[in-house]
Amino acid sequence: MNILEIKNLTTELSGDRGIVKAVDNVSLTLKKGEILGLVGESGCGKSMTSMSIMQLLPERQSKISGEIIFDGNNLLDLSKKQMNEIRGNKIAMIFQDVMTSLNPLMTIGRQIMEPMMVHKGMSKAEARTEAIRLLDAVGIPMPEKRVDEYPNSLSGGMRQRVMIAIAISCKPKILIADEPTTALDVTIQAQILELMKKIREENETSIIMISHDLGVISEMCDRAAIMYCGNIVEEGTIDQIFENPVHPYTKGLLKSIPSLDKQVDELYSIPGVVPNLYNLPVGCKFADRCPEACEECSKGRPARFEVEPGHYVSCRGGIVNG
Amino acid sequence: MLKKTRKINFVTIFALVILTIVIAMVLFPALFTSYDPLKVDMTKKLLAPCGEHILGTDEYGRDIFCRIVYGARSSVCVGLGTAILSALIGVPLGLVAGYYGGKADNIIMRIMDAFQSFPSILLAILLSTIFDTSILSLILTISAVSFPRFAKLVRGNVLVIKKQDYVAAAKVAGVSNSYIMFNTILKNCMSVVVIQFSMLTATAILIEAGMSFLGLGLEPPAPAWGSMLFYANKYVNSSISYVLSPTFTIFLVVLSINLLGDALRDILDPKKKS
Amino acid sequence: MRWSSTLKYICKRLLMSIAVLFIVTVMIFVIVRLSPGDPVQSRIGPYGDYSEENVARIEKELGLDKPMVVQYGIWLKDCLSGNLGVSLRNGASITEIVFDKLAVSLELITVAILLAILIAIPLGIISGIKSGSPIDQAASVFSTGFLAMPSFCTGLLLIVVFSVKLKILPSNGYVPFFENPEMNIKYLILPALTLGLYLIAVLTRFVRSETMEVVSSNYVRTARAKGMPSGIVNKSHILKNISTTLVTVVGIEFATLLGGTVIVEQLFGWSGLGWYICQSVSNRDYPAVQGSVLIIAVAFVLINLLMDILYVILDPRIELE
Repeated sequence: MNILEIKNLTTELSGDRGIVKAVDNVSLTLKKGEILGLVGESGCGKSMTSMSIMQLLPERQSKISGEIIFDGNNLLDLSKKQMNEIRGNKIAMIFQDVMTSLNPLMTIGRQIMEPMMVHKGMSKAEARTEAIRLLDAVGIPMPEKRVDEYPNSLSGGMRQRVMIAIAISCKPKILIADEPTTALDVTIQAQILELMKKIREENETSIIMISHDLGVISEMCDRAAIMYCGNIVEEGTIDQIFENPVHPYTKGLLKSIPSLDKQVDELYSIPGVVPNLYNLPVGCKFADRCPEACEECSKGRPARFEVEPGHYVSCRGGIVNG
Repeated sequence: MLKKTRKINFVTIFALVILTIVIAMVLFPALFTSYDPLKVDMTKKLLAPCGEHILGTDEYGRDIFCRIVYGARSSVCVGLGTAILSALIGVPLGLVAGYYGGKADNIIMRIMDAFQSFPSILLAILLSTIFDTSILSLILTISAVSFPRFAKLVRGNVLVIKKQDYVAAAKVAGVSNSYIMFNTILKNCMSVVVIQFSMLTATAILIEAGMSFLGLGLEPPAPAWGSMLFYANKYVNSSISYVLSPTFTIFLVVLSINLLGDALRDILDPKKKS
Repeated sequence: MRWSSTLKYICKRLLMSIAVLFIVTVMIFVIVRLSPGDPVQSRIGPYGDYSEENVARIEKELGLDKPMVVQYGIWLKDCLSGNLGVSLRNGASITEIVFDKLAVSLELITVAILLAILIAIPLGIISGIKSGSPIDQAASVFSTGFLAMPSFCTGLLLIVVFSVKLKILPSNGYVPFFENPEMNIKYLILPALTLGLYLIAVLTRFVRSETMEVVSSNYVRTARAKGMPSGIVNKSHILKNISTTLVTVVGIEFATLLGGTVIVEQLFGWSGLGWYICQSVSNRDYPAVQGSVLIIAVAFVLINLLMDILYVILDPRIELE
């Protein structure tokens, strides 16, 4: 069952130098209880996709079009008030910048209690008991003491646990995790990922996991979508993506992972650079860097097609090879 | 909903035009007016603006526009003079305090704190009791009020720059302390110094006007915008243009310097650019 | 642990303030001693007895025969015991006059600051949250304008409009509140407005930039992601986070105004401390100038100290060495 369906999502941002399509015609589905990975280099639009779903972009500088269907409603049609009832309640989000994402002048407890009091109508006392339970559940020692402390007394890993406690406080159906472990040490990273798996199992929460780290994605996710310059270039199950990549960009990404088994002299890197978003080519955005590009590729945007059941690719070359 | 943010800055151009005119007034006042700022003509006192006297005349029958043109000299000299002198004293103090730290820093900063424990106009009034009323004295007085700002600003910047790798590299390479301070570090805080310089010029002009307004500026009958207001105050009931002319002059000049300072900040401050 | 380091910080700041105050007293003492004008002369008056014995007697009485350092020591000791000396003009106790005048100034300053807070805080927050909106642009034009306007220009413009043209408010004078509340307020409006307009400009600008910084912070994004209604986001996340810096800035503005009202008081004849200092300077009543300026500087240093301490207590983020 699909819990979230994104159709033709396009997000335009205005900056000093003009308007940029940060998310370009993205379609995605998220099933109940699944973990979907969203992969790509920084600036490819994966964070913008999540911010568009949550509608957290500054209104004045952004324009979102397309459809985001959740619970039978298009989120883009909802009023501000209706959207507030969904954010933090049905769809929650955790962020990468653990050091700055908590309010420094508010106790940890209060920050966890807020959404429960607003969305679930809990009393202060109920919310506090629940906050202590949540702190305990996300693995914070001495939760009764921590609940009254300010964020500056916590380490990065602890802060991310608090962020997770805030996010799961209202038992959301969807949890969006934007690079949740990027800023953390490797050992802490593994603990946080374990915690997220546990949450999925206990509450059947669907998770959108945004990361540039293919290792994290392969370990955590059921399916993955690869983004490049605002587009999804390939989408499929983890096996399909990792065992049978079709898009040259996906292949390049996989080739650039360092491997323990093989001895290599130089790590592979995809030639060229990401094109300037202000000045995109007419054809396939990856054509300039693509080892398999043909003349056709620079003439128009590639269409999306299904290579095998559930495995989609947007590439002209795919038609020829597949 | 979606708008391109574009900046063609008319405001900056406006400020530059005003300031160019003021500089021209200082250098070539005779180009603007054929009157003598000191010529008394009691038959023509407190005239309303007319063809002959576009801003009217004051209580001694002197042309107000002419006195404003000639008054630019004291304001601009005091403004720029103060900014230069303050920078000359404040910047080295800030460099030394920030670079050496420890005792030197503590002593210099406590003295700066002491200077800043007085509202600036009050310290200026206090100091004016020991000086005479020449432009040089005004510059000295207002500089004494302003130089701690440079010292504190530069010190703050030095504390950050000092920790950068290129300073460490220079030290390892055996470059002398004074060279590091006055070349490597100073160059890197030049932009904040320039911005502060423009802001201080405006502040100095305001303080000068304030002191003249209190009768502590240039000795009359020398024309100065602040002292014109001091006398105009007595004639608010009979001549409004007498009050309004210096008011708007001071306002326009200070506004232009401030706007120029804002523009400089946009250009020079890399933090805001990104 | 936090408390012990806070205490340490407070002690350190206290020591620093004492050092600053010491330098301040030396500065005031030296400046006043360097001033032209002979205290003996002003004591005897133009037609008094200028015989050698009489001059020597008065010098001794004023302590002028002792070395400078001793004179400074005596002056400092007197000041610490609350005795700022007597006015050369009428022999009245300067301590008493200064505190009387301070009360008069405080009425003006308090009203101006309240006015500024009531207008600038909402205006600055709205401008910061909706930066670029018409309200923000209007506020920005207003601030830029009044920041370039010296207080006596604003004051004169207000006099032209309200006293000369509309003839609804007096332009010059002061009556104690308890003598005639109505007139006191009438006299108060224009000077308070003059100071207030400038303060509004300063504070609006400050609140706006602080708000913009907080609005774009990650923790406000978190609050929005939690689905907090904008009312709660504005109150408990934005307002609360700017309030700590705001409290200290208002405190420092207050301290600055203590002596910074000189021009406004002079212009409107509001006979507070600033006005008194102007009078004393023109009367060459140096002990009075000395005493008044000392009180203002001490108040300034103490308020600053208080604000620093308050800031540390209010904001758990501050790292103390």
